[in-house]
Amino acid sequence: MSHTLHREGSVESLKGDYVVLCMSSQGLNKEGSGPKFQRYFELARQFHPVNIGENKNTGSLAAFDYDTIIEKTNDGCVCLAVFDDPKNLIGFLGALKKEDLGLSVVVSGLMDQVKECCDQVGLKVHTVNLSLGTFGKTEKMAGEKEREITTMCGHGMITGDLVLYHVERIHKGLETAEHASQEICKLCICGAFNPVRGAKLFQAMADNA
Amino acid sequence: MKINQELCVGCGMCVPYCPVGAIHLEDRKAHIDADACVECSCCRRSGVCRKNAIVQDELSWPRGVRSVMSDVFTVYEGTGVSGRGTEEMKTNDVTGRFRPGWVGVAVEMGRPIAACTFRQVQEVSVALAASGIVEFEPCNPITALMKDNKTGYFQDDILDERVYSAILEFPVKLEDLPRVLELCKQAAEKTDTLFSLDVCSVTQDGQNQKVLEILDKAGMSARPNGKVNLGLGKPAYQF
Ligand code: SF4
Ligand code: SF4
Repeated sequence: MSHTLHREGSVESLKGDYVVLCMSSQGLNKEGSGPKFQRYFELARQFHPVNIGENKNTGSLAAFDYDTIIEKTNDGCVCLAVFDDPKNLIGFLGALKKEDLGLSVVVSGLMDQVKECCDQVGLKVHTVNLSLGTFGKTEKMAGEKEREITTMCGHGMITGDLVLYHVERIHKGLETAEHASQEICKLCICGAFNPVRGAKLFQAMADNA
Repeated sequence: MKINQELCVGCGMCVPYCPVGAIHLEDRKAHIDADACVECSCCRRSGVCRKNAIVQDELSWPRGVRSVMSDVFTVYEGTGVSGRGTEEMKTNDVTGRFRPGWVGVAVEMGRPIAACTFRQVQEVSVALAASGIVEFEPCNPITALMKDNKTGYFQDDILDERVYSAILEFPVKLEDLPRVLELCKQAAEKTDTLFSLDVCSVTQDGQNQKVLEILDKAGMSARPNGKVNLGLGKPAYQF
């Protein structure tokens, strides 16, 4: 489930897009992991995530409030926190290192920048996962611009057509880019979607429509 | 998934919510093409239908496999994790699933938003398995649906079932990676759907750099954004 790996977009745009995932492993450290996940979300809160979520008991910030997500998080959840600013990412990684929760933590983002953030807090990369892109009948995909938004939900719950529908509404002044991004964000139930980046992308598409 | 024809008022709002274009309007009513529908539940879960006309019909086997592979909330009992894959590299710091000298490869068929049948997945899995260097990850739901994970053939009754995505996951020795990449390139030329491809590796002894060199030689490149496991899990796996 490499669902935050294949986010598309320019390097400039991806500079505002980092997903930090925390999970336990079945049979190794899953038992008793619930309170640690709750602590994970509490720590994240100090660094202003633009979205959080878990897909077992609740969902993302677009559908639940922060306290409810924390309260319902229990053993074996897969927890996500999304940041739009590397400074906050650095702060959160430093806090995670200090807290030593003993759970696996995975960061998705620009590799060079993530490495730099890790260096700053003295964390070493253990394993990397590289996206080699898409192969085969790639013409079946949504358009390139739409994909910058759709691929922020790695489970593919957001369609290119829906992105275009909102772009048109923004262009006609029927809704704001922020509203469109929030609406789309609701479909990404794990909380991987970055609504701040989404709003910027929507605005840019509407301006060029 | 079905549309209750009596409740539907034909507003068309649900149409753009379907990732595979299975919903269309006809005679002022929405209709779902059962062949195209991958049972992802996106339409119903979105709450877009104010008439509650989108209803889940009972899914018996083999159609039920569509939901397992396409609906984020359907948990595959074998892994206990909802979704289509495994913990893969996300817990490699504690599982040691991908050790030095090995890399993990994932071929995600149907992704992004193209969908695929198991027959299409099988074309790729059989080609990979025939190389003799690939053995599919036993914890992945896809592998459990194979007749034999050494040949890559799937159970006959699911071959024409259409799913949102199916991830072929396997570890290979670092020296076998070029051969696997070549097979993936050949698969890309033949397939009628698409797939995304990824490779994971430990950083120990600079192995991730060696992977980049192999990709370069194969004429492939990694996207600037990727994923890193920070090694914070405990107990740490001792390689
Ligand atoms: S949203 Fe509901 S009422 Fe409107 S077309 Fe779709 S099923 Fe019918
Ligand atoms: S269940 Fe998924 S594939 Fe089927 S009609 Fe609804 S959105 Fe489309």
